[in-house]
Amino acid sequence: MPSIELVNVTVDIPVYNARGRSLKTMVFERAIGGAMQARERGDIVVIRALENVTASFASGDRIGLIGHNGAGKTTLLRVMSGVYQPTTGAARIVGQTGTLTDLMAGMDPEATGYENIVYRGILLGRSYAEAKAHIPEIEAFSELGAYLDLPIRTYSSGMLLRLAFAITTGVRPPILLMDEMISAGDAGFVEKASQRLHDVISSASILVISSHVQNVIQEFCNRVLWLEHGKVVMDGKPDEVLAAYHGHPGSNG
Amino acid sequence: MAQRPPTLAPGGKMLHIEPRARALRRANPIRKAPFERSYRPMSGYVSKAVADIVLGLRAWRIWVMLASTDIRKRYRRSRIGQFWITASMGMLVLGLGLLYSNIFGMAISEYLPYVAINIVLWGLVSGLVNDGCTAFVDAEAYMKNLGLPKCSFVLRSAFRNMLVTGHNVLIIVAVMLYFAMPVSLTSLLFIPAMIVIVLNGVWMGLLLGTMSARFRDIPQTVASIMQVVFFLTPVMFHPRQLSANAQGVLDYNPFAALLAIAREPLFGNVPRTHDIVFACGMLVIGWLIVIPFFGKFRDRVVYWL
Repeated sequence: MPSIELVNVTVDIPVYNARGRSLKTMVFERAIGGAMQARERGDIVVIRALENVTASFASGDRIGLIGHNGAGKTTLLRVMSGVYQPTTGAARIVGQTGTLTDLMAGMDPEATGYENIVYRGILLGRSYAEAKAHIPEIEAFSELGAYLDLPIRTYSSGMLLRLAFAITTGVRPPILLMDEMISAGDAGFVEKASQRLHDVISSASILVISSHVQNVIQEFCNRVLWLEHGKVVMDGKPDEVLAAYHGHPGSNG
Repeated sequence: MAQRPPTLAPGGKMLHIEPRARALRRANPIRKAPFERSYRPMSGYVSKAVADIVLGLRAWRIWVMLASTDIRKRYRRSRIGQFWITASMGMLVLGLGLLYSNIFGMAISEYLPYVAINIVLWGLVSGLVNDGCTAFVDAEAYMKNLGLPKCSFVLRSAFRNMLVTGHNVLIIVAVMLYFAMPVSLTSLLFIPAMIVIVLNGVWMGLLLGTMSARFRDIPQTVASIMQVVFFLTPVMFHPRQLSANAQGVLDYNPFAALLAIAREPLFGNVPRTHDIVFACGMLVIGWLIVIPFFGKFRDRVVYWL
């Protein structure tokens, strides 16, 4: 049974500049010590992206993450996908996670559409044979026809999106993480794509979606987590949290 | 059971993200037995590293695909494609062989096979070291978007170098055929020797890759050092050409040992015990150092990118 358990999750992201990253600085820091050390240390800015986030999500939960830019939504998604390990605290994720965020990740512009279907399929955790088996379905869905034999650098951005969308939504992870609703491309494709997206979302056991769009949250979520400065401000039913979010000073909605 | 060992899901995903001891004390104060403190951290790091490597090996499809795509990308739209690797290496070996056999006053039939084998092996060793440095830095986009086992990217760079070497081995075969070098059972020692080289390269990649993510001067430093090491290692010259003292110094060059264990079988000789012990000792000690090191810093790498 898929589940996510976050206990006091804190994520500190160090930001190094050229000096902070250099080995020389570190060596001289040791040699000189004292006051210099304090000044050199100041070069490393640490951003606390999440602070003591505690939450647990179970099967059936449809969680919306809201908050202003920089509130920690993407960081939290990255903790749940296993990219970031909490600096302190614990994150326990049971079940395979899948992200519908960066659709183009792992696509090679020089490779043909068919080759990219296989590359991207393998990156998403399929075997070579499984990735190949998805070709007919992706062919049909993307309606790209003979273009699939051409390098994808020759595609228009709309065609690229169709292909990436068709490949990525072919997987059905039990835990689905989304950073903003992905857009569905040109007008003719919208209907089909949104149908497919609904399928993916409804087949997921747990959905976590971060969005600035109220309609998306209201349509898909049964629970909302409001983050501000890396902390959970409110966790509850969509209506209540959205009302509080829009009511609080500094809200832009 | 304060800290459960990481468990594996059928999907190959790590289920339990090993929490830090400090956080656990706060989260589950009752479960923490006092005696655990003394040995937990080290074994925690070891199990973390081992879990990552096991998952990385299971995700072989990903790094095999990434490595072969890396090579394919480099030679896309060229007519002979990745056989440019073989072609350019062939030209280098031929040029070096003809010129330096003259300079050193050695017969071509003696010098050219020697330099051909050495250059190919050196290409593998230096490739493993240099690409290991950039394994994580180059994979930033993947590492920030996909929760893949971290060692996958070191395995990718190691496998890429194995593929390149696979193309270069054709040169060795051609040279051995041309000079009618005898092949015996001893020659088969070449294969375990190559495995020892690659496994050494993987621990170096894990170590240097992690350090390079944090300190961006390391790839350049290592590349410069490797250039010097090239001249200090018997690649172009033969140890026989050195004085006895200098030959003694060569015994302390780990890269000389790595090259020797793979080269000597091709000349029909069993490698010197010294070289075998050195290369295998490096393998064992290197991994013993790298496993806790990688376990400790594995989680930090993505923050450094």
